[in-house]
Amino acid sequence: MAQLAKRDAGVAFDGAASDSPHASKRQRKRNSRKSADESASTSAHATSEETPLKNGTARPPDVQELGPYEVTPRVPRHEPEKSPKSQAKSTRAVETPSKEKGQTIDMTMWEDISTDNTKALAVKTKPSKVSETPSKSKKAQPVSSDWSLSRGHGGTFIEQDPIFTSDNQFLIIPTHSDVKIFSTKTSLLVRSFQVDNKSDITNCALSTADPSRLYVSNSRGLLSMWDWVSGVILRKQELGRGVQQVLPIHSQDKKEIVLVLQQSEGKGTSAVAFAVDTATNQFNQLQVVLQRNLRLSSIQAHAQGSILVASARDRILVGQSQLTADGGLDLTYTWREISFPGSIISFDAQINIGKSKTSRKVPFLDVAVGLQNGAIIHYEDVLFKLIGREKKNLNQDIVGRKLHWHRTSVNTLKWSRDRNYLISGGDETVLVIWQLDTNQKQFLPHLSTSILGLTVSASGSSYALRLGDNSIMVLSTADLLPSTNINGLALGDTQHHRAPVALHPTAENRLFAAIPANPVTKGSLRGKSSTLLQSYDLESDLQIGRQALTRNMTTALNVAPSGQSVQEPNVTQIAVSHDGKWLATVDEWQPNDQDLDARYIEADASRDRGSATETSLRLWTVNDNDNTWELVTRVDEPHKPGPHSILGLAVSPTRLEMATIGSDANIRLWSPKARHRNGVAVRNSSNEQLYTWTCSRTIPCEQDASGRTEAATWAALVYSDDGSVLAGSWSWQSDSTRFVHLIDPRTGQISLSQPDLLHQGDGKMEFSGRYLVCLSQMLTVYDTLTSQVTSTISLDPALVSPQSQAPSFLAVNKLDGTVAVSISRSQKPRSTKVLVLNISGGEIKPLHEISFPGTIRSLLASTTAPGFLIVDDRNVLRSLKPSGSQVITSVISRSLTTHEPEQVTKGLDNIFGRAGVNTVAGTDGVVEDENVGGDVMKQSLTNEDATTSSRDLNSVLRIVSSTQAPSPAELFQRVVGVLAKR
Amino acid sequence: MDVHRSRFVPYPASAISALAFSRSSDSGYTGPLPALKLAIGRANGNIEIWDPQKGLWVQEAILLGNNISIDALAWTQDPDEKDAEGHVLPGQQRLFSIASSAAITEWNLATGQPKRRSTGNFSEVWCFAAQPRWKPQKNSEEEARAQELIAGCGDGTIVLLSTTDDDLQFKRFLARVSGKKARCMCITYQNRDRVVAGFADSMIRIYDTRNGSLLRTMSLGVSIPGAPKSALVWQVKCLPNGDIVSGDSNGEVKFWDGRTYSLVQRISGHESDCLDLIVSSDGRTVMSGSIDGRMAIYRQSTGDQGRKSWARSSHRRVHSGEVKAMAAFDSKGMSVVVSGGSDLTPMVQPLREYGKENLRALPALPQQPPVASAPKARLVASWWEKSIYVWRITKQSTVDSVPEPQRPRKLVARIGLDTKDNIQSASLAFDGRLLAAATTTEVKVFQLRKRMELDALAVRKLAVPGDFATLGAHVIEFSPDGEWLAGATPEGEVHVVRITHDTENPKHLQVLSKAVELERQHRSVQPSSAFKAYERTVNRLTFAPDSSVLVAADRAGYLDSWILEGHEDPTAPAIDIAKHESKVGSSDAGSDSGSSSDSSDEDDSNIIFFGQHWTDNPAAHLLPKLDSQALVMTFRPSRLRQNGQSMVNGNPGIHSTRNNPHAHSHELPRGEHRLWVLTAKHEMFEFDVLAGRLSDWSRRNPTATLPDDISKIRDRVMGAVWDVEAQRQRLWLYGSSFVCMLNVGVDLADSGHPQALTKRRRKPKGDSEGYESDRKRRKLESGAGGKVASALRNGAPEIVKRHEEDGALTDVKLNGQEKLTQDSDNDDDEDDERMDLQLTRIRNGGNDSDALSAVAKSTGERQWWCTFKYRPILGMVPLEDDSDATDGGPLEVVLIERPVWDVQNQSS
Repeated sequence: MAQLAKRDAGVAFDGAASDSPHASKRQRKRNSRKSADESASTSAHATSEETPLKNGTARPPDVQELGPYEVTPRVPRHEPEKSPKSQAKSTRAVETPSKEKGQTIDMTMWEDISTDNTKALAVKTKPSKVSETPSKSKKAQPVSSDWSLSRGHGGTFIEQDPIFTSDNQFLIIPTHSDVKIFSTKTSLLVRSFQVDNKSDITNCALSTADPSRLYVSNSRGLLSMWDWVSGVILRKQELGRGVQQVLPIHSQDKKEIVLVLQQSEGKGTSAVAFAVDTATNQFNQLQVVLQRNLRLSSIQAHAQGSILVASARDRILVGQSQLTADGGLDLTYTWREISFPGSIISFDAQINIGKSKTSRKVPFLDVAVGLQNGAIIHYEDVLFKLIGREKKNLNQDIVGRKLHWHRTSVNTLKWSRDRNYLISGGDETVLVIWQLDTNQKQFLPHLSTSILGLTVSASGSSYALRLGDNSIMVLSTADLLPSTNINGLALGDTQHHRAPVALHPTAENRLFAAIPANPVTKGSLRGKSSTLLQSYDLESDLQIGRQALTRNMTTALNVAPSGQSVQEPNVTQIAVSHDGKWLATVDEWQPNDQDLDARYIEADASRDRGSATETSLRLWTVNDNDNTWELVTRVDEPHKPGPHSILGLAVSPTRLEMATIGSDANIRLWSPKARHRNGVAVRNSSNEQLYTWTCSRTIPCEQDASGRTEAATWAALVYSDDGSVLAGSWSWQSDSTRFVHLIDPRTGQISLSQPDLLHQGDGKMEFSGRYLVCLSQMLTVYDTLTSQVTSTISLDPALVSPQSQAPSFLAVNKLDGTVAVSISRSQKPRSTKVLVLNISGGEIKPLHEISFPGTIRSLLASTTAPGFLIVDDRNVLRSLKPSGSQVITSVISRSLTTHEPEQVTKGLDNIFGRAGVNTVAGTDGVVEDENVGGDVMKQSLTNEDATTSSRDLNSVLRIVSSTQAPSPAELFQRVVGVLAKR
Repeated sequence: MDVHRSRFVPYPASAISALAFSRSSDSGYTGPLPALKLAIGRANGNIEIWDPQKGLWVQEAILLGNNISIDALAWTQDPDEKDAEGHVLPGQQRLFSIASSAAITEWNLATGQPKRRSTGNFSEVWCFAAQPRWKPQKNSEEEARAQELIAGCGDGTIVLLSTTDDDLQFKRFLARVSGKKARCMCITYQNRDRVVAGFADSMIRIYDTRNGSLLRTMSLGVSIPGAPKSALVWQVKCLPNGDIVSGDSNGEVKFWDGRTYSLVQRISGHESDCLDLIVSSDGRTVMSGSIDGRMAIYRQSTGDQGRKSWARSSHRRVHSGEVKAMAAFDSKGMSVVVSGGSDLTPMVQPLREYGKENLRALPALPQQPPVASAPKARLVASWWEKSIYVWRITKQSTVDSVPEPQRPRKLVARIGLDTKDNIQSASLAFDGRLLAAATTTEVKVFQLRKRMELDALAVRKLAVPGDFATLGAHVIEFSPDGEWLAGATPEGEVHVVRITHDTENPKHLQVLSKAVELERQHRSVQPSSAFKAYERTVNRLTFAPDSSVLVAADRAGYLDSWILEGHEDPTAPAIDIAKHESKVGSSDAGSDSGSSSDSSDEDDSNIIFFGQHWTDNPAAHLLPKLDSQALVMTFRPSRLRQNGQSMVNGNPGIHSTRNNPHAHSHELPRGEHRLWVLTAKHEMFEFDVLAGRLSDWSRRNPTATLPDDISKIRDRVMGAVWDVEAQRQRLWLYGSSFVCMLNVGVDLADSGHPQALTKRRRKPKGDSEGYESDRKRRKLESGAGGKVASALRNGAPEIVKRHEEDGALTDVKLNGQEKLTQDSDNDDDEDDERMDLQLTRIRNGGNDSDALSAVAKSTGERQWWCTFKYRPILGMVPLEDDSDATDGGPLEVVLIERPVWDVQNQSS
């Protein structure tokens, strides 16, 4: 059969690159997935009708044999047996994760969208007559189409001050999608639960009646009530309009009054009071408390709700009502309003119901307001004075006290619990503590980045700071030392280019990202250049390390004498060598335009001005002692100086070699050279040879550059899997034909130049085995052996350039050869499609498609497991994995229980007795016969390879926090899986 | 107008070192309120007296010192007295100063000279304070007592001085603190009997002045880390309730309980030394000034438990240098803080309305320009201290007419006076041949002649008649024809001398040996004045363009005028002394008519110079008292000025006879002599001096017709220059920051404007009601700058609104002075008036695009124009084209600027 022939071809290619250890593994994965398809087929059946087979241009005759393109089934396979258990479990105990539950919701959400979008698939599908494919034919499909998208990790914390629980043990911090609960003792995530997938969390607040009760509001108007201790939802209430803030203000007799800040018609905001019966969890709308044609930004309640303080853009509103005799709350407020010169960024109020000699009824209300110009204005006893004004009592003048230290806006401002201090923070990265009585200021300078939010714990013993790098820090008030640090992934705003991120090639779940110091801060004063390297553990959702990659001005005053902000270098490329020991970064620095004015006349083109750009390539080696990167070599201007002179960076997958592609139509190869001084090798303290990186070869592509004065704007560069071929391509603005050059990096010869693989503009290339996958306005698969385009599909023009400015991504998982393509729409509504394709045999076979709103920042292929990693624009990390690969042993266990119980004994034999066999089986590159069926034994044997050998029980049992802990059943499977591999 | 913009005049200015209001508040006065004055002491020993009343801020006088820095100033007021009818006569205000010597000086405000010094067996005085005024108690029949002075010295001595019976006498030593750092830095009265003194050894000591006992010693305590161990107590002040505030060299402001003498609160107010403090009259606001130029304001608030606490509410960098001295006046109508320091400029800040009103910089340059010019000779003279500089300004010519470029200016004379005191006033004759300079004790006259070979002028001193030379003068003025020199003595007398050519040496000029004193009208000073002699001091003199009329104005606003009788007769004796008719027994009625019948002076001889005789203006009594002192007083030049005299000249027709040995013509000057006056309140009048009434122009153009853009200028006018040609009559006025033009040849407002006429009738001349409009415009302000635009306000809420139940909004007034506005009885008038002004403006200007000028519809000529381009202006004086005297050329002036940075660079 043709398919077989193709397969043989694939094998041949694999054999040709036999030094690639992934080849055999890839093959095995296909088999494992095949069995998974069997169970999935039934559920997938329904959807497959709506999604007829789509195909590339050159459709092979035997396509009927292949399964139709199908959508991931609604429910993951293991779900039915797990969810009842987990739901039963997840009723109590903080430690119990609600993961399954959340995941269920998660999955449905993503699935929903994908089914919605199947009608408008990016891939143009031809009507297929073979939609009714018998489930048997699925067996022929080599790669599992049963992909699942994991729940999101990480994420950007929303603009809300962290919430301390009443006992100070936990911090509740919502991201846009999840409510996360961290332990203040360990800084680890304890629990997270997702409220609604379609909309964002806008606010959450602890109930005043019951400290375990949490109100969560939502941008689409969903107000939900959770028991955060157990993670159980108590009640969902649809409120119609988007909720901006939820605020419990009063509780009495099992009845709690909750104020909800909602958008009303037009531009206004209204505050609506609801009564919540704490016994039955019934919501009851009471009345509108405030309805103004103002955009209220936040509201605070004091004195059991009898005093409300709200801020709009330039005014503070104070509402006052009376408590009834029996302790109830009268909801008719008298509002008074103070206008300010300048916009209010932050405010805080504190109240003291005086037991003073003067038996006055009006409480003492002190309001402090932080303005955009850096001034803090403090009004004492403002309510009394306002009332006095109305009564024409002119003795009391409403004059604020001005505290001015901050240069720029006061991002956050809070009273201390004893009301003697004000604590403020801003972009200066300094926490300021104002002692009001003596006018002394105490400073805590040099925080990592600007302070965005601040909470004082109920006892006043600690401050929780939300910082501009998407992190939370808890400081003890006694010594101002940090006790808790929670760091999220902090990628900056990379709307129109790809984020500089890389996965560690060997270590599992290790992500490196070049991040700016202030990714979350708004405003332009602070630069958004990526200057720091964040190493991030994906599984535990923890920052492992952070170090500077370039000079930066995070905590210094970054304003030049001219008043402009000082520019920082921006790291544009980042790559890790195949052994994980070297890191290459490219950074660019461009001086301010005004600073260059003296050097250029007006007639000078921007290109000439651009030559002031400083580009450098830096190479770092890992320091094993403290897990940091040490700078080894810095190459200034590796290519012709100019803006964006380095357009791409690639690392060889097999040897220590890096390649850069420059806008001057050159490719330079960089390799390490042992360092010698006077003929003697230079060694470090532990007697290791030191290296320096030099340019080992320059490959000019003159035919591209000939006769051009302009620089290339886009380029793509990629190594083949075995490192034997380097594919590079440039795109010039003025040129329409674009060549893809295949280069032998060892000789520097251009062996082939192929036009028409890539369109103008941003193009991506990846090797998948022998095939070169090119993504531009269309997706093209090029067989490098036969020099033929095997398959081409055009993509939805709305999602690719030039219509869309958003970056598209292409990733190839080297383990199973699956290709993931992501294309997005940059116009609103933003949306992204991610396709997982199988191109074995040169055909594009869609395996899975997901679609979601928003854009993504990066799409990376997992280096240690099949699947892909998606980083979206809210810093949420999701892994897209074939279900089978998540835990390979799950296949085993299933098969054990269903089909072939006799294999268990063999497997167990293997576990306990014959661990040595696998080395033989692992390298032989056996091609399985599909007809034999899932030989579990063989699968488990062939799963052993170099990358997974590091897996052991430790890695399975190393669970960072209780939220990451899998369910006992899953844990068992993992352990068995690890043991089975031996 | 051609402007020679000059910055070459090295007029020195010196830093402010002391400030004092004549009283800190209006409270406690039962009788009539004396006028409020502000004394500013400078590092060169000068004391400036300012009138801050109602936000005018006019510099009234400069008491010249002798280059020893004034360290502190204090005012006292003698006890009130009752006259026969039972009216309370307020006691006279007295001014004292200390100047880093072992003496306390009392100043004679009228003459501007030190009155007396009190020295004793103590070292240099560092600080002093006046006892609070005695207040009549209800029950006690105690006699009113004068205020005492208490002085702290560098050796730790505290001295008590008495000011009773218009004297200054050492009373006794109160204490003598020993120790190395026992310097008394500051002192203040807690009440009439207790004194709080701050020392350099970081101690504050409380004394009882009755028995000299040390009541309590308070230590500033441990200083902040890094500071020297003992801090200097730079200033102590007492709040009305007796609590004490101190400012020290650590920048801390400390509050002490006034009964228990214990520390209540310490606030770190500044990062550098806190040099001075002021407190408000209600005791709820304190301001401090520091060495880095910042001023901070502290407010007291009542906390929750009824606890009163202080908090620094705001700060602002006000001065570019240090804040050396501060003074506050806090009363119902006016509530300001004045501060000064090394940046020369007094800054006025609102106290009660802090943050809601602008601060205001007062001019650092003198109100009366120390600049004069001889337009004909193109000379400009400026004077300070004891020297006079004279420059010649070259005509600015077109490029090709002059073969070699001339230097634009040339210092042609530099005259250093050998006098005891500094120069008060100087004058240049119109033709540049004469220069007169006056100190408070001497008058000197010089003849300036061009030398043939040199650019420099030859200076020859002229002999001056004895009494004229030794009496000194506040103001001195040559007549335009150069024949008369008038001087106003510090005692308030006006003397005139005649200058003529020397008969022996025609090239030489001489001052005739007899000076004539012109009698001023006796006017009863307002009984309520606490500055009797001071107010009657003449501070402006001006001659009519034909030199036949002399007008003098004093600080109270009275005008005295004299006219020159007869015609110049060169054949007549130079000096002819005629005894007064009553004594001689002559029955010549004609000679009697001129001399004032009401003159009761004992010196009653008529002195006739060349047949001319100064006599009182018969219409002088018709001239009203101005509402305030005149800042600009100038005769409107007339192009026909020589008409009347030309016929008579050389044909006197009157000869001495036996019966009438001192015959002279009694013919009065003819024609219209129109005196244009702008008072300190910027009221504009034009008097026909000989007729004793307002001129027709002035009737048509009352003050209200002044363009809004000019009347709203806060800086006061310093002087004026006429630009009169056949076709135009323009008056250029200037202040320290502005130059503006009024076209007084035509009416400022349209003459057919009925409301303007009715308005004029409603306004009695000379009364203060004319000031009403100005005052009303400003009455919502507390005396400093105008309201801060709400957008710039920081800290004070702009609007307060109350949401009613039905959703409606009501504004809550935030204006703290609502009560004050209610007492105005003629609000409607004001509204009308404003509408008039607006109408006027619309008619004149038509469009707002050129807001600072207006063009009359009929003539197409600019009615007025105003610029703020030049600042700060020391003076502006006219020049004339020496080549061709024909008219038609543009007005040429020298505008002398004195930028602050120049001044500071020079002084440092």
